[in-house]
Amino acid sequence: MDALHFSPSFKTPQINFNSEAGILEIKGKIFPENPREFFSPLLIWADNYVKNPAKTTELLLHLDYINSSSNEYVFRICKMIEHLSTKDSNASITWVFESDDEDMMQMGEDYKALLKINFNLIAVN
Amino acid sequence: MPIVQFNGSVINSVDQAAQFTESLIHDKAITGRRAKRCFAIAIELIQNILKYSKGTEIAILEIKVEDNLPIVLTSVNYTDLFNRNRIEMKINQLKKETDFRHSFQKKLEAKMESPSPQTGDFGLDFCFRFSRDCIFKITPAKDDLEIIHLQFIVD
Repeated sequence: MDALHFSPSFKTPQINFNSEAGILEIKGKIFPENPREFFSPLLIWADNYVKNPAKTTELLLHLDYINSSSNEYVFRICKMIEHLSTKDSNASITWVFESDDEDMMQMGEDYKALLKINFNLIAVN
Repeated sequence: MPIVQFNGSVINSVDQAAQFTESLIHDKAITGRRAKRCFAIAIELIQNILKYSKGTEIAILEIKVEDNLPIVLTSVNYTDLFNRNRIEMKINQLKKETDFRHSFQKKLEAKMESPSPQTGDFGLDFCFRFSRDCIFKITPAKDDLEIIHLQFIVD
């Protein structure tokens, strides 16, 4: 399965989805003009990945900002990874936030409360 | 009433609004939580305008920044009665929420069943996430249109 890489832009994040390593990374700001169009290839890739995942999977979310409509799609990817953890796969989600960013920390806490998966919140400076 | 003066930027996309807001945040030396909240609310208000404006493409987003005062973000746009009622109902619901984060989590989970085809409905929830200080006003306009004023204050 091919890796999926998107370079970051002013309103879209860096995407690094690597099936061999089992690392799915989303990093940066997310407020695309058309969220459905932006997230469609990510959802298709993730859907294919969960059918044949690596032994361990980590979804790494390091978001500076996410708008409301993108939030739904990111959470949908989280749910797909959560589904993996109910199988024999070792899956986890890591939510990285700036240590002074209370809002993104709370967003991560809200995700954690909704997902039955090993969910790590990590503050960075 | 005719426009007698205009001082600002003409924008026609979320992208431009975001760049304008970032420049303003930089120029006014807004930092930390205030900067992030200002940016987040501006984006949601622009998306709200793009989704709900009716009758004319003219709308206003004002971001008022003064020394030692809270930031005031105001959107003003024309809309129809149907959308006005929809927004008003939504804001009234949000103002009544007591456990806002729990309610937000439930809505996010519910969205998994029916994701939004467009932006908008969840946007006001986001604005309330960053500021509970919201003022909503309606001014009757011509024909079946009304002008809605939506204001959020960021401390």
